[in-house]
Amino acid sequence: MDERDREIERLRRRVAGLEKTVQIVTRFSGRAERDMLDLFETISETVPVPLLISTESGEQLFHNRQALEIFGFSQADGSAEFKRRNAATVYENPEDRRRLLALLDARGEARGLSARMKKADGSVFPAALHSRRLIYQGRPCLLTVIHDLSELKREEQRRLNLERQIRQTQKMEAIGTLAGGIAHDFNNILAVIFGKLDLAMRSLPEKAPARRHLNDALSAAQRAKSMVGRLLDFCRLREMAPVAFPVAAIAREVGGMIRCLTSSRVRVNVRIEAPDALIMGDPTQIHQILMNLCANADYVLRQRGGAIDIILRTAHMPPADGNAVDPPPNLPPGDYARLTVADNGPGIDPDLLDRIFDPFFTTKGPGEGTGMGLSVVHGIVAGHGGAMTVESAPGQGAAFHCYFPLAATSEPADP
Amino acid sequence: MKIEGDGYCVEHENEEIAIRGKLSLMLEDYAPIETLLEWAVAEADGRLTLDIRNLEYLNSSGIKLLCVNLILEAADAPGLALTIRCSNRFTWQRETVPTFQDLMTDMVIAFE
Repeated sequence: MDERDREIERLRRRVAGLEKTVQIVTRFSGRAERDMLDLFETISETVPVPLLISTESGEQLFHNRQALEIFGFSQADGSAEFKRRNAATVYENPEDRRRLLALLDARGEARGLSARMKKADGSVFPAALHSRRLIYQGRPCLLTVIHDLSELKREEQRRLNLERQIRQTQKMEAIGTLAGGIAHDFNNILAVIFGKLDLAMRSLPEKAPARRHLNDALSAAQRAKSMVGRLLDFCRLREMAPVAFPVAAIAREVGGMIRCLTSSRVRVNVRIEAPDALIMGDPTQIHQILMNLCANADYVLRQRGGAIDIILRTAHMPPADGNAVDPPPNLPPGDYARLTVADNGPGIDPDLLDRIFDPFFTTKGPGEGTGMGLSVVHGIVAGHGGAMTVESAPGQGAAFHCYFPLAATSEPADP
Repeated sequence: MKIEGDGYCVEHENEEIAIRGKLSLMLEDYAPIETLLEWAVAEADGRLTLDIRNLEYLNSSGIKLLCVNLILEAADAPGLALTIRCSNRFTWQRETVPTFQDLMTDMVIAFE
């Protein structure tokens, strides 16, 4: 074998070796590719976050199980339907996706971009989006991770409500202390005024012209006494001899009275769900509470018409269902009678909600209200060991819930 | 002779080439290592050992590098005995290194 033959033989061996190398590398690459895909699928199905991979034009190439779940598609047969949708359609406002793309262009990634996402049934949820560009299946794409903020927002709202209620309670306590001191001192001054007016009356002849002036002064002093009385009600300083009584009877009685007093355009409904609920306290004051709340409801419905609901039911603290009506934050655990007066009027301006129980705060016109009605209601409820909450939103009416500790009931309290 | 990069090290000393770490360069970036391997084969005096017991990862371009620039070169070198020392700890070595035998039937592959 000469040099040329040896070179040909060497080249033949090299070509055969290269062919085998191609096979080795191809097998290796195939395994590596399979391993990477397995890794990607395992990670994407294991991490508890929804993720989508889509092209810039919105064609969906990949979504994980969590994405199906968050967008309300069934795991069994919703995958194909979801994949057919353009990625832009999962945004309530398609502009949000354009903002995401602009952010990716500008910064190369998006972190915590706020957007509102749309579910299969059309409902919407708040989300924070995290996104980056990548190459998937040989195409330039974006990977987007969606964090559902619904629960976070609900918790935040609950926390804010609780803080607001605690602030309100503290404010009412402070106002109560202040008003109580003033009322007490004012009462002493009034006692002197009444005494001196009486003495002055006695010392004047029957026909003396000055008697008319003294009578006017006496009337003004009577009005002042009445106002002091309401302040004392608010401050819970009036003495009360508590008795156990059924709240249902008072609710029915007030319902009947309000029906007679309101115009025909206002319906009054009384719903008693806890007919045997007994509470300890002063029935007259509970009567006063219901009359005040119903009078307010009637005031807002007088022109437009509507309905006033008086509802009595029981409630357990803390409530088992966290989504139920926001419970008062400062009530000890136990069973309560919940007396509600609700109307379907214009609702209360959210900016005013924190002030409606303040003494002398009123939205009524001059001469139409003293601003003491809700303050007195608040004071009476607190004086009975209970608490109050208000539910209202503009255009959706208002509901005042008064909670009183149950003395006894034959009905188990609702959770 | 030693080449070090981000997360890897290739060293040739006393007829032994040791590769450590994770090696996943782009094809064109393997040029200096290609030169090192070919030089090691050319300089070898009857035997050469490749020690990859601490090579955790090697990409497909790296596999091609070992096949073409070391094993096929060694197969062409008359009378050169090549040994590869591998580790059972790494799946890629268990699955792929035995297939190198097709390129050089008298090569020794030793797993530890």
